[in-house]
Amino acid sequence: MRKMKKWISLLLLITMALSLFAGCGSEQASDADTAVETRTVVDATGREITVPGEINRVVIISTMPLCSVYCMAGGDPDKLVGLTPSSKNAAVNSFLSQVADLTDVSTAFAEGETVNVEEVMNLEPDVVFYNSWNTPDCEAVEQLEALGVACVGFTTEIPSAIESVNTWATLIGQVMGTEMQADEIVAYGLEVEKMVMDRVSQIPEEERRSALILTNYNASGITAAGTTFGRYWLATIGAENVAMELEQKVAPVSLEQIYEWDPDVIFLNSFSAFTAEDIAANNAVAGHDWTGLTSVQNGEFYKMPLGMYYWFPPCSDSPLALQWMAKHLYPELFTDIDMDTEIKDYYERFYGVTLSDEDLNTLYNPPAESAM
Amino acid sequence: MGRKKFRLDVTSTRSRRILFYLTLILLPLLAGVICLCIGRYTTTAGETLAALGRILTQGVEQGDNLAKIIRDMRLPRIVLAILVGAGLSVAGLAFQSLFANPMASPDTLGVAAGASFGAVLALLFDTSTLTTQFIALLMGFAAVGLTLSIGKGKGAERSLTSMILGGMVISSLFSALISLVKLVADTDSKLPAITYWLMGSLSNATWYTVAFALPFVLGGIGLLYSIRWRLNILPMSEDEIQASGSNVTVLRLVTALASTMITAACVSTCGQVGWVGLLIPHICRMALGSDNMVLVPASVSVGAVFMILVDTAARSLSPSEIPVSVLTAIIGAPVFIALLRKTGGWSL
Repeated sequence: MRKMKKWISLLLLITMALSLFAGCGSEQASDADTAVETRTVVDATGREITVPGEINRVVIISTMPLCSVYCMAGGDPDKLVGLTPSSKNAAVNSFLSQVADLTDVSTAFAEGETVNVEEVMNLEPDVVFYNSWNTPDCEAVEQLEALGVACVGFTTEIPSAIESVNTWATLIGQVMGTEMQADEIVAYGLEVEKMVMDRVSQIPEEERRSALILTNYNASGITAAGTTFGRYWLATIGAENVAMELEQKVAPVSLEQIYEWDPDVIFLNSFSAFTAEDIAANNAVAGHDWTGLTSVQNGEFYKMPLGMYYWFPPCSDSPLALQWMAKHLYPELFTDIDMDTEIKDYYERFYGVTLSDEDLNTLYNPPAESAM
Repeated sequence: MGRKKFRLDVTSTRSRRILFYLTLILLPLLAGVICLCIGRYTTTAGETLAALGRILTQGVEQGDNLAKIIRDMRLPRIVLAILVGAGLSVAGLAFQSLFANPMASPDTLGVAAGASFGAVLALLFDTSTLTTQFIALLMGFAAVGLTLSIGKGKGAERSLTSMILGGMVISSLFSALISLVKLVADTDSKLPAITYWLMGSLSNATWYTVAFALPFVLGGIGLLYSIRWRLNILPMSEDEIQASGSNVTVLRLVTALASTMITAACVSTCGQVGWVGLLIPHICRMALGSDNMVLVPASVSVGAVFMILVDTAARSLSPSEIPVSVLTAIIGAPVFIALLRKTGGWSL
């Protein structure tokens, strides 16, 4: 009996000590709240979110290319304290590593598709960015908001990559207080989009070339871009989209289906480790013969570059991706555009990075380890 | 109430027997040829058969895309469908006899969960298709080995029960490990591949993957075929089996080994294709009675036909692939219920 009492009193002691610590924590937070003024933004969910006026710790809990846009739109990379493993992998293996050193950013909160709220709290975020269309994210956000963390939702449901990037950049600018920089990005993206659309609109319907985007290709299968981004890219560059009948964003397809479509041009996203040369030389998956396809025979099977992020999803390089795809589909319409200069200028202007010719080569030919 | 049970009589006369076996051989061949003409690539049946003729006689010339598609994409898939359908059906049949339990399926001993874990682990590390298959096969055998070592004990009755229990334990252990891998896997790239693989699909069929599965599946089917009359005595008590002049332990081990070979090879090639091992043996039983002499060849044939049809639907219905397990359940369950009502059930 006596022993048990001893244990109980010990337990009580520990609980009290712990609550003391917890008390300290919340007191500090409220101090900070009153010291600095706050800002109010409207996020992708349409709600008004109050964020601290001074933000020093940012956590992005969703797997999305938001990180690259964050860095471009004036978000200080040093303030990023948490990322999902795949975002971090992409950041570390892409040109983003030249802009931001994210090797020490924590990924501890990610547990498969779900988010560990306590691990997020350990990072003491001032603001959390999330994908408002992702159910596990929203569940975590509900808990985080109950704990007093400002959570800003972003959308991945806008088909237009340029518009997606613009919306993200604007919102990040509002949250971080760097709107000026965001405005410049938005203006440039719209300018490029208009230029491309104006030029391809001259092509008569019957002269449009057909195209297909593959989002990934590895030993476990081939996936093709369906709705949202896939449709946007191909519509904007004036291609006849052979995969219009797909009803998913990303759909598993067979090689036979690709032979049936047999488009003039195929773009393979840099998620895949296979290169255009692998495909042409039948060095991809054993037993898969691509060489009968028109695009492969004509040398029009293109691997998409990896810049600040993989170029298929919307990312801070999207205006470049749009020009690159358009030029590959209709070279004669874009003879005045030299991609090398475009990319170098863009990187100089928006990231403050000077690319060497070797860098450009890496960008066009992403190393195998950067594949997902 | 005395509704007469519906049974096909296939063995009473010599001509009936010949007709029966001829049907069993011709049915999968017919289904295979018909389904070879179906697919996403637009052709007519005539063109397909002409292309098949070219493949068989002069080989495929560069630029002959149709022949290439038939030879490299449709044919291996149909052959794999035959192997998987026939294999899983006969493995299920054998397990139902072995455990004298109509609910036994090919993964009773944990082989499917084990092989799936191996494959998922391999996918996590991005290995090639053949390595993935190999690791999956190994883990499938390891899982059954574990189950059998748990099931070891005195007395056959106890041994059978503890084998089933052992299988449940090992299955849930490996399922937990699969969940663990999914938790660790990257949500953008690895997880979709793993999830899709677990749903079961024959879309990975190439002549290489088929060549890997072929010896195990054919070997397993051959073993079970050669002991098919003994499968009839398996559900009996141990004394009765001994009295028939068979060694209980050896018979059980051979049955378990053959079924494991088949199932591990199938799962490692195309993921977990559910339902076939349960559905086809019961359909055959409802139509033909409970004699394994007849049931083994019938399950092989009907299983192959079923799988060819279902996989053809999976690859041809829509531009994006449909996981085959989804279809086996959606098509299988209503067919099963309809047959159950029509025939008034079955017995082992």
